[in-house]
Amino acid sequence: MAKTKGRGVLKAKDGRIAITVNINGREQAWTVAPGEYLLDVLRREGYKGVKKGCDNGDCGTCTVLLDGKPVLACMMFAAQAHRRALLTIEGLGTPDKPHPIQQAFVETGAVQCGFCIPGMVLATKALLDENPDPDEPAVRRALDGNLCRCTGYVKQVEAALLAAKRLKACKGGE
Amino acid sequence: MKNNIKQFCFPTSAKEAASLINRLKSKAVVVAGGTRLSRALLPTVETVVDLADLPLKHIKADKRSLRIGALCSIAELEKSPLLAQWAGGVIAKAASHWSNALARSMGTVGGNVARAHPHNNLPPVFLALDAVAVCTDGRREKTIPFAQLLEPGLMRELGTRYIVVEVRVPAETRTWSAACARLALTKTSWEAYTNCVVAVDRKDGAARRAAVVIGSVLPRAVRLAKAEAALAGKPCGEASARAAAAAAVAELEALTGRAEAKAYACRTSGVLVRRCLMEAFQG
Repeated sequence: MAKTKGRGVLKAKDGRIAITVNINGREQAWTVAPGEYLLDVLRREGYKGVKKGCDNGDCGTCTVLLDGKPVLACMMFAAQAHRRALLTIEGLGTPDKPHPIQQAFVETGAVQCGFCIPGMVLATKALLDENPDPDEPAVRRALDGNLCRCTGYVKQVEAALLAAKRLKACKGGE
Repeated sequence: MKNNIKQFCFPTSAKEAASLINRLKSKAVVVAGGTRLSRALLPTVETVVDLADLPLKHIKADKRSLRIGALCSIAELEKSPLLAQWAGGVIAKAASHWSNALARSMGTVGGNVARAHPHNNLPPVFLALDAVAVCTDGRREKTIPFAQLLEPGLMRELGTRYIVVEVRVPAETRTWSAACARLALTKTSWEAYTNCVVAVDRKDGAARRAAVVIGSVLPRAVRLAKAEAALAGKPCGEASARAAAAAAVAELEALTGRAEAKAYACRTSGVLVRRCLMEAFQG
């Protein structure tokens, strides 16, 4: 059978594959069916902040960060995340101590039904990690894969710009 | 859930990946960005060959060519300072037109080329810039011009026999003037009515050589020879742009068999050709 180096070969035994994933900074060992999508496994393992919307790569509600880059969890097999780092909304902040991006979303009224917000917040994080000082067109472009059916996106764009300002101020004060 | 999958392989070289798919044949499928394939697997597939670990994420130039690794994401093309300077930034601009931020973050050059759906943005721009794709079957590398690569026979071999390693764009195209534009329902629509790329090599105010490419209208991106002929040796101005646009519409109408469903796409392609040429002439 096939031989590979690096992450090697993951072969199913009794219809299951063992994978290890660094999720929100913690190593986790999961047993998954080979054909299971990352979205379904994350939700089964308790990461319910990852939402199931279109399940077809169109809406962005299942956005997670894979090695720091935004990806659609509904378009990846869980096994593809083997020995890679994932960040979900649960790893960003807590209700008591929200991340500055989450705080900005709350303060600007960007959250209505909330279904799209985990994806929006993570897409915003990916943007601000790469470009700490984005202008409005850059924010709109970074969020153009995350659909919201409640709002006209104005508040989310305001939230991202506010978060950028605050994060920049934090870094400037360090 | 795809119940037919039995194993995942994570090769670390293109040679290794190509050897795997040639050995496993229809039981294997390669996945790069995974923006389309993971939802459209054939029932024969038992092995997923994930290319994510291949060291093919380079964008660099040498004396002979610009070299773009097949595992570069579309977002990396969009943000590359080198590509922003190359041929009027047309590669970066074409990348920026593709779908939405999440798709650009996941999608790769290799996938966009190897699964050359008519709406993909990169094949037309590489075709206009006389690019070649370097592919391997695990034993030897093969350099294939894009004009050949997009032929259905060869296209079927990408991902089943060959792995795309990199795209090479000739060094002389660096100073060409080029432009691209697309017409779609929305900015983030992956499907377009038409997708136009023009590239012009200018000398003393005239077009020494020109490429006019249209994607989305036909099953694969095509160079429009009559539109290119209308530009060759002519002064770079409104008159030649209009003549090339008219030739492009006539050529597209002939290629589509004057199908009523394609009439709008043919006419708007002419508009985009003229606009792109004017932009390229002024660049």
